Amino acid sequence: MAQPSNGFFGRDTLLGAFLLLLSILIMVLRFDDGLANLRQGSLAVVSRLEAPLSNVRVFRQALNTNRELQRQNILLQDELNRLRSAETQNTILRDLINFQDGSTLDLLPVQFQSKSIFSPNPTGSITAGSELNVGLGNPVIHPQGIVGRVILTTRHRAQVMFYSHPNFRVSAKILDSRATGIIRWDLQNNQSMILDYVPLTIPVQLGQQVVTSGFSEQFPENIPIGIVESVERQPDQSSWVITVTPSVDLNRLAEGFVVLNSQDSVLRGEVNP
Amino acid sequence: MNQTSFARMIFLGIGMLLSYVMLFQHVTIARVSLDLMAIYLVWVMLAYPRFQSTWFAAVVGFLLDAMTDQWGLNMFAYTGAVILLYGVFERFREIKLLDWQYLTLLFGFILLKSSLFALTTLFTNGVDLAQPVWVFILGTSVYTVIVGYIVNVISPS
Repeated sequence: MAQPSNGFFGRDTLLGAFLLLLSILIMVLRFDDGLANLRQGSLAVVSRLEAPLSNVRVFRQALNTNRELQRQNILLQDELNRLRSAETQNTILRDLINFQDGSTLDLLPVQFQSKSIFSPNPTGSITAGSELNVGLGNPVIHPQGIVGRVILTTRHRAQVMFYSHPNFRVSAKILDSRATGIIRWDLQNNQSMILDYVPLTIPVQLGQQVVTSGFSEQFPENIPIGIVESVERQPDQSSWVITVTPSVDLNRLAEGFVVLNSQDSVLRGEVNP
Repeated sequence: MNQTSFARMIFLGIGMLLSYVMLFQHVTIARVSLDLMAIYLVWVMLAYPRFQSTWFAAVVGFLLDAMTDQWGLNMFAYTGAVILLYGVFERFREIKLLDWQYLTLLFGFILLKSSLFALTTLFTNGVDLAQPVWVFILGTSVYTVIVGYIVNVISPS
């Protein structure tokens, strides 16, 4: 059975009041000199009590530290990757600027907004349009070589036909021999270009550079196109079938130049040569 | 109450106090720590009269304060909680508690104790709960009740 409690001023109440007052007194005097020795003593006791488990806490702390360091490591790695990416981008942009400064062509720097390289009609859109004098047929190039030509313009955008487009053609020459031909995309292997119409009388060697010939109303002379990868002789044909590896990798292409005032425009008399 | 069970309760308290100081005060979940001594004082209140329970609460609080350098805070909170809630606990002293009854008593006790503790810290310099008051009160209460239930399940009596 439950024991009866004492009255309001009973023993229990007085004890409770006394202990509460005592605790309040301890709270008030906790920073007083009188409790300093007691605090020091309790600190020593607690230190001794906690000593055996300190290694466990150190280990736990080490685990936490390790977890935090791993997190920091990931963040740093991410930052490093971004810095490397920025450095690469910086190098690319610097090369573009150097190319533009060293070129006699009227170049308009552009960025590719979208690319559909693997579609049946490989095209891409660039961040410049008729407002910046980008016109139909303007060549699009990169410091490494030819990219394509403009086939559609709006005020702020333009569509570019890549060199891998089935309808893309450009007059080209082998740099060493100056033998000319027509470059087109190899639709069979879909990885390289074909240089047609180079006579069998012209010796062609692997590794020779192929550039634009200048016999075009659009493309200026000596813009790199690619490197001779293979040379074949077809039966009953009077010209080589030369496979050319493109200089520009469309997969990695992000920037380029539109050649303004191209020969076509010059020939039409739209601009002063 | 014989002296054997009384001594056993004292040793149990000392053991729980030491285990709390050495281990359980460092086992925090979301910066909320367990109040192991509240579980102990619930047992005490269910076993001893008000006079002894009040003494137990004060001594446990004082020792805990000494161990954690919170002089007077736990002593005040435990003693106050025991004084205020003993009347409720007294009704259940002679009966075997169901789990939910035990957990409700424990939750009520730890809730009141935590509230008194948090309230006291408002008037005390140099003590910081390190979290919002409601997080401290509810977090400690829930954490303690869960552990109290586990202890109640695995304890022999």
